[in-house]
Amino acid sequence: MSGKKMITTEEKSLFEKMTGKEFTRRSFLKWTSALAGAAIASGIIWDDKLGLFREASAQEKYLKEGEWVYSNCNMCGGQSGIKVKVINGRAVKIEGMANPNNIANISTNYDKVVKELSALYNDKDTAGRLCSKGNSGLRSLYDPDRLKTPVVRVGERGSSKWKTISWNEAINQVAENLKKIRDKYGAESLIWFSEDHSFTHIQQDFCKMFGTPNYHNHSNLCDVARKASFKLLMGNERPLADFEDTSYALVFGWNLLGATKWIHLPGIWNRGRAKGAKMVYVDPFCNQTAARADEWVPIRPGTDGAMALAIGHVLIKKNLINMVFIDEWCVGFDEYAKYVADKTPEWAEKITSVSAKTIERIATEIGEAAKAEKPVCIDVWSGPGHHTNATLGGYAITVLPALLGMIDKPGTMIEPSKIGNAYHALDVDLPSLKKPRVDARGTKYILGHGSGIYVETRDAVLSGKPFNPEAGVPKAGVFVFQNFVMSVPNTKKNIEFMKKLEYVVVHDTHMSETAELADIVIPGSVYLERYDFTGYWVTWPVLGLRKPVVKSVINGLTEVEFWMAVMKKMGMKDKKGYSPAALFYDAYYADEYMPTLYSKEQGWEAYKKTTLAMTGKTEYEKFKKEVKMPEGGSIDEKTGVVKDKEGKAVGVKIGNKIMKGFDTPTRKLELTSTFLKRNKYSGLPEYSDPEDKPTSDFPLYLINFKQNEHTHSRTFNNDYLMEMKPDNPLLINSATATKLGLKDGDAIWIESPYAKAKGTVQVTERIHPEVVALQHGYGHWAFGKVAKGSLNQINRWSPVGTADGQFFSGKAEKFSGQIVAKEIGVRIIKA
Amino acid sequence: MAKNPNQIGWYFNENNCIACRACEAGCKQEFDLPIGVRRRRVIIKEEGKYPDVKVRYLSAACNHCEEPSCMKACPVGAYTKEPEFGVVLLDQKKCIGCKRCQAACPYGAPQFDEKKKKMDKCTFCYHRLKEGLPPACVRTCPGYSLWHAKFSDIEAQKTPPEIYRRPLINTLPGFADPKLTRPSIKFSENK
Repeated sequence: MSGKKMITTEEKSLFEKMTGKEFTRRSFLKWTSALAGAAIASGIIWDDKLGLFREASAQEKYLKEGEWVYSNCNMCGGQSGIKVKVINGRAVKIEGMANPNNIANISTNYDKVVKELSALYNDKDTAGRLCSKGNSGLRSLYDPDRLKTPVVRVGERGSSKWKTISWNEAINQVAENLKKIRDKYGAESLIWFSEDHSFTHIQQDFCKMFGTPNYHNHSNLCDVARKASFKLLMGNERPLADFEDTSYALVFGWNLLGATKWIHLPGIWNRGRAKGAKMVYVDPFCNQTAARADEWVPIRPGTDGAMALAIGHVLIKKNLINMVFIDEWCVGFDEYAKYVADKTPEWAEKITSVSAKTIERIATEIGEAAKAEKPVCIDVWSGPGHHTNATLGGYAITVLPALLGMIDKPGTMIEPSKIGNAYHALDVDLPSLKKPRVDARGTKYILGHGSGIYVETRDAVLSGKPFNPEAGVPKAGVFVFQNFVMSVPNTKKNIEFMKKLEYVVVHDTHMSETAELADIVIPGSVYLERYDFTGYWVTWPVLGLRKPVVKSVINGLTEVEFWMAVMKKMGMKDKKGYSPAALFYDAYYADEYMPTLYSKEQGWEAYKKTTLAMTGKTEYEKFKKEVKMPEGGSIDEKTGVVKDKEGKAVGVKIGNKIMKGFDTPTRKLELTSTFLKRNKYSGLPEYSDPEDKPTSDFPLYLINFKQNEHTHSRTFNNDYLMEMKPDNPLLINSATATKLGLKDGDAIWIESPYAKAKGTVQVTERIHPEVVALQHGYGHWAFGKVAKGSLNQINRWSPVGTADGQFFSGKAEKFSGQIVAKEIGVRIIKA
Repeated sequence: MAKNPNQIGWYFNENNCIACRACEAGCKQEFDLPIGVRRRRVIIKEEGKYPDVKVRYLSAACNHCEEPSCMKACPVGAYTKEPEFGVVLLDQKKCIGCKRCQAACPYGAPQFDEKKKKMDKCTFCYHRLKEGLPPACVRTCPGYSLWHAKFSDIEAQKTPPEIYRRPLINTLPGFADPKLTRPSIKFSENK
């Protein structure tokens, strides 16, 4: 910047543009010397390389300006830590934050990975990563198709004729209409559906104070069959697999690398493989996980349980089981051994299409690894979980690690220790709350999960005859951040169900196939505009906080604020006169945070900044922890079960010690379930064929699957994500395609007993020849412009895909109530 | 052109890639790129026959070549290879949108921006490099599959940390002959 500096024409015009003055050499030099140092703030930088002043790019500016705000992602339910750069109230960039949920589900490597990676770059958060969805979050936040004001229906249901109303009017209308419904039909006639991990407490509070027991949330559409399968074995519903420290992982139907919920999974899977672990993946579709496993084992859908029984058979036959562990920590071995005595690999081959040789080899490999005391990890998720035989099929898998003694040790299935926020228990005893749930949870579905049984509730509305008549017939529905019509199998029934309800409130960020059938639609918030507590999926206690990174882009209320306002309007209080609505938004969260043990380390204000609280490390073999004999307690001499004075099993005597054990009736791992026996079942992980197998008319299995680019059915208006994955052609094996005379890209009809719709085919080697597959979530007709295909004109893409839900029967699995979303026969016809 | 001792380069470990496209989205987000401009793309290929199928992934962007063919093809001198990191930069002010660089590049790196009627390409996040930060794509990679460093350090296997590394090779299926332009990238194959 010496006096002899050549001033370029670009600099001259930049000067004139920025100052509005005519260029002179002197005024230019005066201007630039004033700029020196803090130039970036005014958008001008001195470029050493080019030796001139130039306008800073937007990216250069965002790196230096504004502030990073910490929060949690919610593009899916994974809760990854994020930091968001905010400049003048606008979010401009989202990056991963180094917190355990982004890096590990086991504490052994968390600090190490953070240290190693943050040393490489000038960014302490660099170990924290985000997937494509997390990176596209701003496109959802600033999506022009978002609902901006509440709307009420003015035409027929579903006629898409709406009138804009104010937020106050919306609050009044919802309060009035729900009151009317309650007065006319009773409080239990309200059914409620909510997303997981997002403002669920206020909704549960609302239901309680309103008086309805019929609250449902997302899990029922996800993994409750898995939860039931693990619960039968070990009492704990949600053990997590430690892939990083394992020597052999056998995974049934969980596309963990495709879901990347949770974002730590690719890292721990890859580091596990790098350290020499063998990963074997069982699935009809060679998805992203199969593609990065050491072996893909293609299997007929819904038959995984049979393969697992045959593995158990081989382990016992070859004496590869851990008899010392079984004697000490398992019950029901003899019955199990007797049951699998004829479940040979040859028997399983006929059912699964997996060769007996392969089954025998895999069983031998895991057995020998376990014998050599190398950790083995066996897991199952929603592949087999979305079938009519899911709970017992899954149970056949969950007993395998128990046979090997591979539970709660590094490299195996680990029991998480979770401590959440202090959910404010309301003191409410309205008589309607004691009525049976309309979804028959706990009666028809003996292992029904707390999230409810969506299709049972739907079918009760359709038939007008609930399983338990005392439950009454639902008349009003509230759907928060839930696209019921698209997410629940059997679309036709879903639409009829919506139409049959007398009053429907939908609360969501966009119009949707469900909102289209509502009486009133309330605009929802995007995760960067609101608070939420987020329980992390790690094995030691961690509590995350999502928080408003920017002000509401639509100038609206968050879900919590809206329902608080309705509560207030309706004068809701518990017996002690308490109402969450008495608190301001921020205080509502402080009220739940401050009683937790985290708050001792970090008060509310500090926590709000870090958005992360954690305590302890992963503890292993927690079941071996010694516990004291409870006062007034007793020991059953035969079983060793220790009960407290209320008769609750709290421990088990092993040798001469009382240990914590597992949360099962026997406090041990149950290879044969006490709970099932009490309910008149054999208690064994019995195999039964899927109910809706292909037939001669509908000869191919149809399954759905999920992949990284999208969440449920809700990310399909995000233009970045739709650019990457614009549609969902039907995947078909090349040999099957040849038989049907189909070529890649051909237009087709897909037909099941429940629907017939158009699609296109993608011919591939990556799928079982008897199976075709659709990625879930496509085929919107009432969502935003992008979801309906507006980008297709620009890029000449194929249509927006085929909705998978329409083809399925819409059943619930008989024990857990899990929706059956991957089981039907279809035929494919060239269009 | 003599090799720049500070040349920056990529390392792509196919074994750790899960085709999640986080790198693509991270890049789009960093530059607020319009629909249609994809500076980084994940390419998926199948090999073999059912059930012995191999799935190949390649995360592809500009390789900031030693001898960039885009630069040679450009009729208006819009391309420069800057000296500090050896990054190939495009000056959109000079670009006339003739697409000759796109035709010349064996990796499909230059993208055409339909709205601006100009080319657009990867800058290796030059603005981030200057701050000691990794490029947006590397920063977000969940599989720890995509890396960057001084290219000579990658060639000498000094980086990335050992657990994220596998034996180096010069090319992957679907990648053009590296002799053409001397791209600043090394690979490892899927196990």
